[in-house]
Amino acid sequence: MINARLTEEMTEKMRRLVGHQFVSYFMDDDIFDDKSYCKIRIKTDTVCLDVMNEVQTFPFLESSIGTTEELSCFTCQECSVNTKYEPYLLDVKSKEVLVNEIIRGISIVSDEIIISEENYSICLDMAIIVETNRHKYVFSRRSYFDEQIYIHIDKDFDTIYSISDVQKSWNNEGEFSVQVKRFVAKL
Amino acid sequence: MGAGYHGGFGRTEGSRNKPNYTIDKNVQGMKKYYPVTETGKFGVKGKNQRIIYSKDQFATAEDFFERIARGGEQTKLPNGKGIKSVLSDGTTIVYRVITSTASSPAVEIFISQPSSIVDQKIHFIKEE
Repeated sequence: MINARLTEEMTEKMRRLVGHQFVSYFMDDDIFDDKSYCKIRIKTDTVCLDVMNEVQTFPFLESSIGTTEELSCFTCQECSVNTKYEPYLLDVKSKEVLVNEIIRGISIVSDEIIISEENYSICLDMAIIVETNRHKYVFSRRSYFDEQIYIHIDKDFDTIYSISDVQKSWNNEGEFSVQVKRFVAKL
Repeated sequence: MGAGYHGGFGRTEGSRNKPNYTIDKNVQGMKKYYPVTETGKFGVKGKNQRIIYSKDQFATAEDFFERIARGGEQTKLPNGKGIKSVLSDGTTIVYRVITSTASSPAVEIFISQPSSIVDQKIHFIKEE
């Protein structure tokens, strides 16, 4: 199985946010409030966590016509609350969205995608959900090649990007039967 | 509102997204050059991606991007990897000049609202 998930170390960094004050999050300053290109920052009272969704190369996705596919995956990195936020894209301004709520829990939604005809399976983290005393902040991904991070409040991830959507993006236009197992890990 | 990259790309117009440039309008204007399938996809089937073959894949990719991203607000990807464009209906189009596939640029389309086309990644490959 190809593991394209957050590492144990990254997951531990997220777990450490629980119980802290969710001060704000940073994202691209765009007219569309529901997405940020490749990067967001979760700021708490003690530490910041930069979450990225950059594409990486996975040679197993090579095709017979010579293309090598890239897969976007979540990663995260800690930084101090005083570190200036730099968006992923050049020439883009960022904005800080104030939250000021207490983090009660963090969940990671992951999909295991099994494609028997091609003899491979992939495990990907699809959403990072920060639950506070008031709301549920969903930072999620969509297609395997999409670097955008989608931001929703109080929405169920299954309604944002369903298992059927995942199957559609992997079934090669109906050629493969794709099995998707979705699971949620509460940190 | 983001600062945006206002220089445009190639022969594109400036980069502030203009109210009337939606994905459906842009697709309508390019259909005769780049046909769209009934399922809302460009090119031919590849492996979880679409393929457009061309004698000059870089020129074709650039031309395709200029047409589909017309009127969008453009920003550069880091390290010279390409350009992102957002249309007024929220559709995001990413032109990757550099991809993991040697000499094969790609255009990715992410739809925000119901449209005649669907999310897809199109690789441009040299026609032998």
